[in-house]
Formats: sequence, structure tokens, C-alpha cells
Amino acid sequence: MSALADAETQRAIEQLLYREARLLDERRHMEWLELWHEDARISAPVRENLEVAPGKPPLTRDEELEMLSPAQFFEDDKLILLGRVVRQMTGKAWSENPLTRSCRVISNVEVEAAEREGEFNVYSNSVHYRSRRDGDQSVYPAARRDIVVSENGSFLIRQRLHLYLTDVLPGSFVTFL
Amino acid sequence: MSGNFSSLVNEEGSRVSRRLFADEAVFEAELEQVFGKSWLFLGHESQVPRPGDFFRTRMGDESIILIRGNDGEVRAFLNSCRHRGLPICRQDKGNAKAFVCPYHAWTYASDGSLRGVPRQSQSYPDGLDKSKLGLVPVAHMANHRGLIFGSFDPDIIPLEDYLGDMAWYLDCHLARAPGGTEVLGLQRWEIDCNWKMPAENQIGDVCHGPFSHVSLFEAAGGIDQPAVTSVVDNGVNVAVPNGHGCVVAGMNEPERELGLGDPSASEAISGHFDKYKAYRVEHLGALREHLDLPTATVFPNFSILGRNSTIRVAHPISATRTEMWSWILVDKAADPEAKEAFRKQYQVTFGPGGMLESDDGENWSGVMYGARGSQSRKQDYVYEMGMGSDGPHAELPGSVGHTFSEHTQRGYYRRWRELMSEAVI
Ligand SMILES: [Fe+2]
Repeated sequence: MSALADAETQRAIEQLLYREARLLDERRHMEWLELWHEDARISAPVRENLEVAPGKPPLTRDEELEMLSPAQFFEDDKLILLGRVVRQMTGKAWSENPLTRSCRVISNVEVEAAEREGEFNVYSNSVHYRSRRDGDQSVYPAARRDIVVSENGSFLIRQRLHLYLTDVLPGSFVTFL
Repeated sequence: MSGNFSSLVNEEGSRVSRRLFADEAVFEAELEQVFGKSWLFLGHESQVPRPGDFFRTRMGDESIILIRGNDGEVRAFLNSCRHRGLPICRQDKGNAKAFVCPYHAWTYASDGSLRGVPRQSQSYPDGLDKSKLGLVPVAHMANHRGLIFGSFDPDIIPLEDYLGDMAWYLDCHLARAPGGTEVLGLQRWEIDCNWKMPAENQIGDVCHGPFSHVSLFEAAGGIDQPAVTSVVDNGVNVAVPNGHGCVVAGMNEPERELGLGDPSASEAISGHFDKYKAYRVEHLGALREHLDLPTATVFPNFSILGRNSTIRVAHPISATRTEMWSWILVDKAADPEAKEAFRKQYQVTFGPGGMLESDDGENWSGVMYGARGSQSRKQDYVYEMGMGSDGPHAELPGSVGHTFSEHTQRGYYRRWRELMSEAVI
């Protein structure tokens, strides 16, 4: 277990995660993109139903992740993130137009200093609510592990492991995590 | 309404009642008449390579165990204990010598036989004929180039006859490299739509592409890029008997190299196609060497999107709800970089995070919304595009026509009509 980051860093990184969520909720996609590092990488592995043999203790989540297939719901680098944003900008992404309303609730934020100077392991939970029409509402809870780096005085998200809770995602319209 | 379900589709398959897309009475009849009497896709042989390997899958509304026995035979059973019906296989995949029901510990071997009941001599003093209480097997199983199909119908025709000329097209994808294909994983998601929508879209609905998917095309190279034109302008739609159909590209572009039609095709992907060109000529012939299958559907609910490295099944949950299962499919012989490139290209375009899938899902839901109203459902949907324009072709089997034609969908609904004519409303 690494050391917790100092209070000032904890606060700054919490604010980064809240702002990131808010910019997506407010559909300010270009500004949202600026919070991501040039080498950004997002992955969202497909969750599976696993069993342990009788007599064995439950797998830890890390052990569980090692057993999963390589299939991902999302696996984006910054170029693909940009592609998702540009697609929105055309006004012809019909699954987001009429506009999607979203609300992302971020909590349980823990910040640990990573081995490398200026790098932090960040744990958080997110609940992404998504609504489009006539009372339709989908909920996407997830646990997240980010690597946040400090560069030129600001914090950027360089890596995100996004662990959806469900094995069967509701809807096929998830443009952003 | 009384009479026969076949009255919901006209003889040509060009007018289809909206009741097919939201009516629970129609849905209930389909479970027997369509899903009970067709070959259904269960999984890929690469998912169960060794004895004892199993995969928990579905056929229609049933949970199914697909398992390779100790004798090497792949079998499938209803995932349901004979005693109280519980699913005895509750994980997605694995390797097992036996399945034990969590309720009363009835135990089944990998060949489906009931092997043990706790304290049998005490609990069944007059005996229990275990030989009659094995898991219920799927009536017929067959394998086409790694694709495992099963049927509940004891009288179903052999898979090769059922597929007919469809196999000739499927093989363009399944047999383009030595060793065939393998799957890298499975994504699942739910959509508010009828299960026939993914199937009828992927059987040849090319004409939605330039409009529906325009946002991604504009974001990635424009609407006149080869990935689009090689299908829309230079592809053909082919209807095959028994309700199958496909979109075939490369027909009018023999010089075009496979994979290069796609803007995101990396060097790893085009290099893979170059490497096995001679193999394709030898095993598929000079014509099929350069044909590819952008989309295809095997009746009733199995589809393949060749350019996007996926095979998928639209599982019926209710008249208005569908669970999509989408496997990532790659050539077994591809090197690790090419496999990763195929997988990533799939994930960014299709699946629930895919930018093309999101447009499609939106449409499929919309078709269902349009079928729910008490007044609107009195109307038909129109499948008359390209009526009479398809026919025999000098080089291609099946009925061949333009991509802006609905003949593959008409064939699909004619097959539906045939099967449903035996059911009475
Ligand atoms: Fe589409």
C-alpha cells in the first residue's frame, strides 16, 4: 500500500475528477478533452461471471481481472477520444441528437502517490445516469482506477481502467464513459 | 384478429405487419415456430478446445450449456436441473468434470448424464432411474468451419443444406487463412428493440449507412472514402434460400486489397491480408480471394460483420427487448499485432461503445416504438425497394442485386412467413 497523497494534492485531484465529469455532463467536449494526457488510454474490460472451486476463497478483484478475456467495451487513446468528440460536432450523431442528458456522480476518491515522482494512483467510483427521451433512463455504475500525472503545474488523466459493474450493458449508445 | 400468423407478411415479403416488432403474441409463437425449428448459433469451437471445456450460451429464450465431452464430442443441453430446474451452470465459461446443482446437489457429467443424487438409497428406496434423468440435450448439433450450431427440431434438415449457398459466402471470411478463425471474447448488451431488427439490418440494409452513420464517416475521412463506396457503390446484396442473405464487397474491384477499404485498417491488418493472398487463391479461388462480407445474416438471428471482426446473435428477451451477444472473431493464423488491431478496430466501431453500433441501436429501438401504437400498428412496414431487380448472376450464387434493394429482407420475411404459417393466432 503506497502512501496517501498530501491533502492539497488529494483536493486538486478530486477537483479534476469532478470537473471532468461536469464537463461531459455539460457537453463541453473540447474542454473535457484537454483534461486528458497526450498518451491517454482508457480501457473498460467486459465483466464476466466467474466461480471458484469449492473450498477456495473468493478471488480478489485483481485476480478476477487477470482471468478476463481481452474484450473491452471501450479501449480508447487520445485520437479515438478526439474522434468521439468530432463525431458529436457534426450534429449528425443521431444517438446523441436529440441531446442526451447525463449526470455523473463521482465518489470514494482515494489518491496515492505512485512510485514515479508527480504520478498518482487514483481510485474512485462513478455512477453515470443517462436520459434521452420520455422518461428513459439508464444507469452505469463503475469502479475506476486512474493514473493522474502532474505536468507543468496541472494534473492530467493519463490512464483509466473503468470497471463497469454489469456484465450486460443497458443500451448500445454509450458514446462516453 | 384470428387466422394464421402468415397473414402478417405478404407473399413477396414486401409488406410486413408492424405487429412483428412489438406484439407479445407474435413473439410467443416465434419461440416455438422460428427458434424451435431453425439452426441456432451456439458458440465457436475455439471456446471449447479441450475435454470438459464449457460455455454458457443461449438458444432463443433458453439458457444452454455448450460442452466438449471426454470423447471430444461437442454437445449442448438445456441449462436446467431435472429435479427443480435451476441453472446448473452459472459461470460464463470454464472447464468442469461435473455440474452440481446448488439446490439439492444433483450431479451431471459432461455428457449430460445424471451421475449422483445425495443419499440415493435413503431418499429413493424404490430406486431412481438416473438413466432417464440426464440433462435435456439439444436435438441436433453441427459445426461449419468452427461455427457451432444447434437445433431443437429433431426433424431439421442438415446444417449444410440449411445454409446452402450461404456457406460459399461465409467461407470468404471463415476460410481466408490457415486454421480458420477463433474468438477473442464476447460483449453483451441489451436494446429496447425486437430481435429481428439486428438480423434484418445486417442481412443487407446498406441504404441506411450513408445517412445513419454519417457522423463517424465525416469524423473519419468523409462519406466518399473507400470504406463506404466499396460497399455502397461497388458491393452487391445477395439473397439465399431459407431466409439468409449478405452484402458482398470486392466484386467490381478485383484490384482492391482486402482491408484497405477501411480507413482504420492498420499496417498490421493489411499486412495480414497480403501474407495470405496465395492461400486465399488456393483455397477460395481467384474470385473469392478478394471478396469480403461487410454484413451477413443466417436466419433467424446470427450475423457476421466481416470487416468489423464480429459474429453476433440477437437473443429474444421479449417482443420489445433484445440481448445482443457479439464475439470478436479473428483469423487464428494472424500474428498478435494483427489480432490486436482487428480487436481494436471492432471495439471502436461496434459493440455498445462502438460509434457505428450506437447509430444502429438508436434505429432499432425506433422501429419498435413505431410498432407499439394501437393505430399505427394497423399499418405495414414497406420492403419494396428494388422489387424485381435481383436475379441470377454469372459468378455468384443466390439472387444478386444492388445494395440499395431490400431483396435480402424480403427473403428473410418470406422464410419467417413459411415457418409461422403453422401457428394459429
Ligand atoms: Fe448500421
